[in-house]
Amino acid sequence: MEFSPRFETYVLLSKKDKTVGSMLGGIIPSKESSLSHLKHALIKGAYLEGNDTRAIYLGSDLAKRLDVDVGEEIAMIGSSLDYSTAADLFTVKGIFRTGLFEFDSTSAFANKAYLDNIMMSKNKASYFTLSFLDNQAAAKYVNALKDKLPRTCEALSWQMLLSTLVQAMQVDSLFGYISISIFFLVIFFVIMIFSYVSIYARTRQIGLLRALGFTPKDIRILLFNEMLIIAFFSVTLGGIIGAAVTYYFEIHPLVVSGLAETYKDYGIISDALPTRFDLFTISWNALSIFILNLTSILYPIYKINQLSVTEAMRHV
Amino acid sequence: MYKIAGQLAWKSLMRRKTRTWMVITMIAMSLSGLLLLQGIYDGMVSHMINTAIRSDSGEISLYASKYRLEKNLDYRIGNLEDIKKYLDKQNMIDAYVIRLAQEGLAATAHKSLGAILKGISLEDERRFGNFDTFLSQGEYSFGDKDREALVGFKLAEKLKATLGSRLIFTAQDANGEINAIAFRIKGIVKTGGLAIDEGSIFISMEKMAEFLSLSGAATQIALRIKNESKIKNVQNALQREFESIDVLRWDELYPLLIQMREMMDVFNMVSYMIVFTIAALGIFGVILVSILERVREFSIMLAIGTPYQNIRHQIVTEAFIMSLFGYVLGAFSGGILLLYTASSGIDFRYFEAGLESFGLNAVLYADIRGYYFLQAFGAVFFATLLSVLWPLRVLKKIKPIEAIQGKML
Repeated sequence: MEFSPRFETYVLLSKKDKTVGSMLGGIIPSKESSLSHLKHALIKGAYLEGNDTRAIYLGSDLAKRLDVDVGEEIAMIGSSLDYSTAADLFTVKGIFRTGLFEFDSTSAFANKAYLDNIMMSKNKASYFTLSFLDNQAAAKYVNALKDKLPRTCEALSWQMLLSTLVQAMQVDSLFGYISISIFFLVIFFVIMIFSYVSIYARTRQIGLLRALGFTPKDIRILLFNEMLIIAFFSVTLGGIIGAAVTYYFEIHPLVVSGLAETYKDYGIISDALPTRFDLFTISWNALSIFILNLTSILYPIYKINQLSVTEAMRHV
Repeated sequence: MYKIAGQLAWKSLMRRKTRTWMVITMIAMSLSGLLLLQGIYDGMVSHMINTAIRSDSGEISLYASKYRLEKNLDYRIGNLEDIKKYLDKQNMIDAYVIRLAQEGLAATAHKSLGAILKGISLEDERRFGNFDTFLSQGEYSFGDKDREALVGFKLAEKLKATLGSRLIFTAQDANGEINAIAFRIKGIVKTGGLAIDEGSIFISMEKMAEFLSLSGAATQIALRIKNESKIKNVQNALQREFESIDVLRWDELYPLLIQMREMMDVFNMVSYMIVFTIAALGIFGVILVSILERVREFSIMLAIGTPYQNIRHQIVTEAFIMSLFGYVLGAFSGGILLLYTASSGIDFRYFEAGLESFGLNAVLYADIRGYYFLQAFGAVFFATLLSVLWPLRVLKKIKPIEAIQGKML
């Protein structure tokens, strides 16, 4: 598990006649580099270090809005923890781009050890970020921390903290399920139609079997087993092809040029449409189609068993 | 000839009622589902467009050149009186609003966030886009002395501010000085527009002008146009009249929404293609079996001199009768579903926060457009046509004498 404290405040950053409201984060550079992608997002200059004093690490769009470059000075004005005015001059040490438009256009970072002096936040943090090697461990830790922490603090998992994002994912899934249910519905009917015509094409054969002593239950088992074999082979084949296609697109995602630029407000950071090769999803869909296959034969079996032996044998 | 072929087709379908009804039900159910889905998806995008127009851009917005890039008061619209005189004379303009905005820092006693302060006229905004209907809490007012403000609901949440909370906004004024203004929250607005809900504060135009040391200026003038088809004409006329000002339509200001609409169209088209390709397989199965079980019947018809075209006509008619019934039933039930969803909506309150993150309301309303039904008809027609091609090829290969003798069966 990795962890790091962060001190977060909102300030005005100014250069000459340009002033922009910004989120200024105090971070421990060495810890942050193993915890987040901030260091790797560097596009110009250098990342922060533990002994930096008046150095600031700016988001690319924020730097553009302020019209500053690496090595230039900007003024910061905000309010410190004791509600007094906090002001200082910073030199731009590095510029980063995460691809998250909102973040890149409003965020700046400084060495926490130095920022604590200005903001009167020594030995204080807005929050701690914890990263786990095993995601499952997070939930356990949240519960454990809840018991240990004082009442003024709270422990939140990413699902709780980003509940809106989690709901957005649920909404996305919901509409995906609605769309796919229509596909499944039409697939169900098609299989049922094919089952129906293929069973009815053998009505006389079934009548003969009944005359030879097969009971309706035997017929049901016979036809069900036939469908079981067909469903097994078709679902296995479909599953393998589907999985192969999904795997291919996971490695070589579709790229829609301009996608990230258009949807930057929604946090889309890449032109690539990622595909996830998830065995659970593939198995779940395969199982759904398998069950659809089996249920689609129920009505045709019912219909054929409604015919008497003579009706079935005389069927044209 | 056509009448006989039609009668034979009808009788053939009635002979295998269950099979026929299965195909009709398949087409009807998939069609109604697709119509509903298309209506809801279009309704979602329409809602976002409508919100953007009502709460921000209007059909046309005027900005000083470079303002949208720089967001700096140096790039402001100055000749307000001339513009107002011109706009008042235009018959095509239904309403217009003048706004003055500046980015800065909004702070409560314990938290501060970047935000945009906008000077507006509440009465003008009401006329412009019923802005008062976006109010979710409090009053649609700036108070008796214009010392109160309306705040976007997400910004209020982030600032942990409620009605009556005191906010301080710090920003640069027109002279380049850092200024601060204090006010209390009178109302909280929820528009569905991310920019407004997450980062906007509204105060009176007079207070804003005083705060920024700037009078008779605006950063945006938004217009509502009476006739949608005349938007481009009005835009061109305005651009000719005020050459130094950027005159932009809503779709130029929100290209994302247009792209979303296009993506939805593509998605709907792909859905139709997938569903009706599968449906075509169903129709194909029924028609093929229908031909195969009547090979001797058709062979006799061919042997006694019935032209192949007549039999083909009968098969095609069979397929189209099924599809037509399926279409009528599907269009009818889909239409009813659409009408219901357009008037009552579908309540997704459980996913409210998730929908809000997309700029949507918790209750989704569908759109109903005539072309849905035309598009659906085209899809059904094409699927039917596709499904009969192979069976007709089988039919064409029949050798009547061999078939009568049972050699082909």
